[in-house]
Amino acid sequence: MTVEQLVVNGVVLGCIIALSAIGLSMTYRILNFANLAHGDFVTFGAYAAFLFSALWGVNFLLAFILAIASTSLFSMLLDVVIWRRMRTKGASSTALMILSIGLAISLRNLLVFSFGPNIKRYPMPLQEGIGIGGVVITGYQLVVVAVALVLMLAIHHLLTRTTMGKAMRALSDNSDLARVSGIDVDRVISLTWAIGMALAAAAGVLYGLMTNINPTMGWFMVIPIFSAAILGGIGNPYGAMLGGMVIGLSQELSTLILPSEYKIAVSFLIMIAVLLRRPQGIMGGR
Amino acid sequence: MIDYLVTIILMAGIYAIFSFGLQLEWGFTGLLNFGHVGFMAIGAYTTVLLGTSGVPLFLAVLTGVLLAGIMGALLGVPTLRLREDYLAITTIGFSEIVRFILHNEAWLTNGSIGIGGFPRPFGDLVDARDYELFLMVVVLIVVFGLFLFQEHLIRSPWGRALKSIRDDEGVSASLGKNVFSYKVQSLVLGSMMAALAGSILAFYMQFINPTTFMPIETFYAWIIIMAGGSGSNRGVLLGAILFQLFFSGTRFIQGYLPLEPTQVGALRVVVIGLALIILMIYRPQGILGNKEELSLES
Amino acid sequence: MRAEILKVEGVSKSFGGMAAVSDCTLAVEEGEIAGLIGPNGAGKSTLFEMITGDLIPDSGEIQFHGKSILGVPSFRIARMGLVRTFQIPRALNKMTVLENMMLASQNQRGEKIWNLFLRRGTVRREEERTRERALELLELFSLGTMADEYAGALSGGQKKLLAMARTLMASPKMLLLDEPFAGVNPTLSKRLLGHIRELRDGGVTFLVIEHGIPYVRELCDSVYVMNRGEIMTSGPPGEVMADGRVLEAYLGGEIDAH
Repeated sequence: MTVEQLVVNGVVLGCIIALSAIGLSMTYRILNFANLAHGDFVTFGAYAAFLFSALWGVNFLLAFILAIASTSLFSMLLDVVIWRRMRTKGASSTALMILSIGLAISLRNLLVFSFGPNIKRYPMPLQEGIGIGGVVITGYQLVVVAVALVLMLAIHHLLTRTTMGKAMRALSDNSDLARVSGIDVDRVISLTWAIGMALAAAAGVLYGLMTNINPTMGWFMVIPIFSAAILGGIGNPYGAMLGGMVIGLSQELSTLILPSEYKIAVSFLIMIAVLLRRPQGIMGGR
Repeated sequence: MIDYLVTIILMAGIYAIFSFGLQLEWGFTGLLNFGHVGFMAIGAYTTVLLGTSGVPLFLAVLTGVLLAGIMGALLGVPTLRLREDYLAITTIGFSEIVRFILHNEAWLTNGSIGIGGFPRPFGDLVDARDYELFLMVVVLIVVFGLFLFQEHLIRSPWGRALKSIRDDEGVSASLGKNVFSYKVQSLVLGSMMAALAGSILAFYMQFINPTTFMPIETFYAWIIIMAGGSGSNRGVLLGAILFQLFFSGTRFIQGYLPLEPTQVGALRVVVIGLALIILMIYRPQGILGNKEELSLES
Repeated sequence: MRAEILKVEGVSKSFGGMAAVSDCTLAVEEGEIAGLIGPNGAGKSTLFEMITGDLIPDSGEIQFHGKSILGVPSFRIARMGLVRTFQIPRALNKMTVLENMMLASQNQRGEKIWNLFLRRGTVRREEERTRERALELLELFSLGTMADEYAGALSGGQKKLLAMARTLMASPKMLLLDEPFAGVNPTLSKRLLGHIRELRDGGVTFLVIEHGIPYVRELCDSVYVMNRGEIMTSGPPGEVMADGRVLEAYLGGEIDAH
């Protein structure tokens, strides 16, 4: 494959990782724990869209929106039932992390139980690649990039122009100060889940559209997603966007020298390098 | 019926050996290792590959155990100074990469096809029908020995140093303990136990491939130690038995449920996941664990 | 003049462009009780952490018993006999009081894993001796009855006593005390003072950080005053307290001078 083609593939993959990483980065910082079930929310979103479009015959665009909404609502429900309860008990981030493992395996296997272990596809026509200037790109890949850009801009608008967004940034930057200045912490946390998991779901649907849907799709993205979030600096959504693109490009370009089965090792190595040399990431403060 | 019981005890024993290692790392030292299965794989594959090359099985198992220990040290040196959540994430990556290598380097490991028909200890001396019983006895002896070993460790000054690290690393260092060194020792020993479990598992199943060593196995060990009791060796035994009873029990009723086998398998894991969630919310110290010794409140 | 057991020379440390400690020099003689005082933000903690090995100075030199401890990890410094306490007593809550104490004993052969199997008798005997010593010390600090309780069950004052007893188990040559009297009631403070004096008479050297100076005058042989990252002045407590600049440094002269 040519370098240009790998760059195109890398950008597309990067968009998906970026979308997932934003949500992870935000929950990591605001809820103060590494949510190991994050990948499974990506999968959940993909299957939700499958349920609506393939099983209930809903128009795909509507299915996409419903999938995002239902994943969002589901995560907010979990916050009330599980995470808030743990917060009240003063649970440590370690306890939350172990709990998130339980959530991850339950969620994943609930999807296997409901939909079976085999690969599924959305009821959308197969796309031919279009040749543009020496590279081949499918319509779906263009959709991925376009939707990702729109969503990232929406996040930017949310964080800079809305009160809620500013509250999220405040809670993210200095949790103690934010709490005493009257911000309704529970509400901001709820919103963090809603937005973060909405993005994760979007990433899942887009990825499913481009390739396929299977129960472990999100779990296998956990390492690249964490790498991206850590690379960009935990708590910084723009860092997550940048990190996502870097990881996506690195993984694809690495196939020039490494067998493609080892792509995941690339993101793993990047993560280790960041953790050892600059754990706060590229755009992390301290 | 007896065969069923033998299988349950045998598998519970293998999981107990596997989980003892994790208990040493998490329950006694406070290390978040989510890649434990990687060492089980190293032990299993090393034993099998050496065994099929004619190496005496005792030596093959020993090599597997030592190799896992070395890999534990290699993994630990760069990562054990990291914050615990970063350690957790990197260990997940580790076990997945081990699995990828086993899957892709088919010239060495036979890739996804796996390896079967390898020699097992006293395979020619013991009748094939009685082998499982024989292996069960071996496993029980190993479990008993490991239990005593681990009890001795935790009640010793060495174990006390580990517990102090679990409790508060800063204080431990201020009292002259080389925290990093102890963490590496803990990870190395725990990995060696995982490898031993892997070798025995290979002898039992008579076939291994990379999917034998998926991340879910690590999380099974986690539910065993969390349910049995974080920081309790007896808890490991209890947890392993309960876990295996659950697994076998659900297999037993599989025929009576209007569900596909994959669905039952999935439901089984859903229950385990929910059990872990409920445990963490309502009784994080597990059944036999000590609430005072639990290092999970912030 | 007695030997200088701790020497800090020209030590500096900046964080993100801001100097926390600038060119500080101090020396503590063997067997003396030295004090380090100064208002909040003066840099006392930063200087303290550089001596304990938790922070590495940007420049300067630190020597303990004539040997450089610059860049030496904190656990090794503790092993050399330079032991510290924490401002908020950090007991190992999930271990018993007795375990807390026995942990602190240095050079335990039983802490090396191979000795647990190769030299079982030696380890067992050593444990017995350590246990006896620990119980004796606990008696001295009136904690004998709490030996088998989890340290988490102790009151704040008891934890302070445990912290001091624990450092003694480590057979220190010098103790670095981080605000030992902070938040402590007068009765307990008198006890701590007494213990510190006894220890000094037994040959232990002290460097005590205090924010306020209620006991510094009584306790210390010499005092260093820090302000804005620098050592402003030093000398016997009487002289230093009378120094106008010191009074100024403490926010308009509000010094609690009991």
